[in-house]
Amino acid sequence: MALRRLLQRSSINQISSRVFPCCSQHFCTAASPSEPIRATLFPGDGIGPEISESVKQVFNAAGVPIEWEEHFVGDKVDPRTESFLTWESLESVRRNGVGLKGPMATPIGKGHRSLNLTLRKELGLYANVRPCYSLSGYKTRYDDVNLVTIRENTEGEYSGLEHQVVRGVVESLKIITRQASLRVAEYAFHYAKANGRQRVSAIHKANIMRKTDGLFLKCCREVAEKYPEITYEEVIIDNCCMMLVKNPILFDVLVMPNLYGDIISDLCAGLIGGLGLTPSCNIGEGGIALAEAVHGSAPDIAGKNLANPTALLLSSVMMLRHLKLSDKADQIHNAILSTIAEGKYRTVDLGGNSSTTDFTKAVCDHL
Amino acid sequence: MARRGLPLLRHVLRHSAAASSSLPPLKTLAFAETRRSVTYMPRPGDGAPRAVTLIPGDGIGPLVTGAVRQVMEAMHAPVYFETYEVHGDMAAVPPEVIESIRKNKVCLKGGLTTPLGGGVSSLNVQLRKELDLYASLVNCFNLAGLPTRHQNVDIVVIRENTEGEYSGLEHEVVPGVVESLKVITKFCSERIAKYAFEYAYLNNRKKVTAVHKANIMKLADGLFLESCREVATKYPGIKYNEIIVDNCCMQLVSKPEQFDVMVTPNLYGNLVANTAAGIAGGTGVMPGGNVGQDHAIFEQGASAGNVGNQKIVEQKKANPVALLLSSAMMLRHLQFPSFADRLETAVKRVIAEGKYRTKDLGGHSTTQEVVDAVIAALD
Repeated sequence: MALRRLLQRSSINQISSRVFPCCSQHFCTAASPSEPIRATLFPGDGIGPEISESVKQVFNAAGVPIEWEEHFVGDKVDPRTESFLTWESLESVRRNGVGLKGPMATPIGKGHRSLNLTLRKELGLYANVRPCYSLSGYKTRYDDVNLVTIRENTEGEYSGLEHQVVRGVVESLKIITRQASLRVAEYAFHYAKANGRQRVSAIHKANIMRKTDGLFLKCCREVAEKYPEITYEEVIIDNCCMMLVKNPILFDVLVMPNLYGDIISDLCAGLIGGLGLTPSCNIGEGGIALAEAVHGSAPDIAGKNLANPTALLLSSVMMLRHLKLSDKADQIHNAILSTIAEGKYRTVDLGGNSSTTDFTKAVCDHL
Repeated sequence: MARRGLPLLRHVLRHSAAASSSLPPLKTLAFAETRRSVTYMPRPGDGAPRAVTLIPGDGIGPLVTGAVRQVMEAMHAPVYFETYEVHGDMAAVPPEVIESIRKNKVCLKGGLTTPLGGGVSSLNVQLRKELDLYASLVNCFNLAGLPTRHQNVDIVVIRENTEGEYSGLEHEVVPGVVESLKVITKFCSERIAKYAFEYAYLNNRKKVTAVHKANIMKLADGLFLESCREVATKYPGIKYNEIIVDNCCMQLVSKPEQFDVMVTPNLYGNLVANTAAGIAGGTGVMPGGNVGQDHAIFEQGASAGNVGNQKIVEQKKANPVALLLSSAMMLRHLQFPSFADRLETAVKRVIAEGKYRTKDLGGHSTTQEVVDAVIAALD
């Protein structure tokens, strides 16, 4: 019943149908609407605290029933997690099932894992979802981008297994497993179905890397058979790159192994205006979703009220959809889009001269 | 736009004893339209026809190599082609083809399909490894008269062609777990870096950018970067910088004018070359080739779409521009600069006019119409 109402709305309001919640229990945490939902918030470094403040203000103005649990990155290495993120922070995300993460600067040095790696491994975040759509009102060279990139996040070329065979010869292992490929393919098709997407394209280089990408493709094909209503195609990565820069409208949902996903998702972010406008969400085992801002922490403008909160706001909308709070999600999403479309309040990176607080206020006014 | 390479001519000019004051600006030499004031002085016998191996290939390959053949005949260029049939589903490149390329040293090739799913390894990769063609070059530039979303693009992507992710070393560890080895050696990284800087030096390019992912693959791409840095110190006149591959792709779609020459390992080079070709007009117009110590194979620059699809083959609407411009590069490589200039000028004129363009450039012409237009534009 709720599903039909949501799907009806998606056919009317084209904008809101782009980023949609997952609908099966396997992929989402159940949200009870009566009591406030607890969500973990990592404000992060640099401009992180300012834009997190923005999100909190907008959520308050919209009346979103979320209670934030803030956690900060410590300055000592926690031996239980081998990184600057404490065990309590990770437990909090596991308990709440959702989180929002601001930009984190990776501390340099040895003896600890990188922050992103820690989150990924400890929470089992296996899929990175980035919807890329052209924002009306912010003109780039590409006007009609509307695609979603889904990237396998745990294995592939980024396994980190390298060694020096002899002096001057280095080997790096790329690992593809059936289990991880099936998992990300399942999520991709499920996402496509739940969001009314027509086509899923698997991106690969199986003509050269026949066994590894071949296994990935085989898993995608197996999952595709279970969703006959969704068109499935396979595109070689070099064709894909060229088609994306010439005619991005050809693509709908892209599912890829780790390295190609990294490059293609950043390419798509470049098409729509950069990382400052791109939402992103990581999906983990057991339905955990950690939405994040993928841009850097911009220490040079930290604290000056100049930062652009759009990426974090759009990511928080993704988080709301994951929690099935679609009304609030749509409301906030439309408010953000109309603020940018209007063009009166734009932060410095988009060519305007509004401050973070002005932009946030404009979004709240548009609610 | 005028930084097109005329390596032999520049070499001659740099070593000419007198005339340093009366040297014309090198820019004007790029177009054969203006009269050249310094001539290329051949050795007696340089005009003897050269044999070039020709591999038509699969899909649109025969169409576009046929186009090159027609134009070469119309120009009376001193090359003759020894044609060999090679198809993507053969198990290996026939030994007589390899022999012919070793003898002639130069080859022109259409695309070869690589069947998916295993069994046969890519013939393109086999050819490159067998002949040790370690550098793959694609020149991506805006053509006058061809509207694109990005302007001021003039990028040369130099890609290591023999190792890296394309080593072909894969195995199944246990059922459901597959490993693939990416191999980076100092030897190969050094020689591709040397080639990139030498190319930049000989073609008057100002900047070389190394593309990598060394923040994740610290040892492998770290070794590649180390080699690039070492070679960079030997060319103090050329600027050198490094960029991570995902940021690179993002910059390519937003600010491509910042890139000049890019040197990359094998896989990233494939992606970057196709992206750069796409932003500058498409892979149907970008020339390129593979070169090694002793041999060179010229083909359509970036690999996407070099075989085309069934529809284009049936309708005979393949774009011959990429292969025509690559054959102009080949003519320069063979030391026939005036034929190269004439061919290039004619092709650019046809594109600028805009009357005869194939579907990928927004027109409706067939391959034959474009070829006829190029032949008519030859002077």
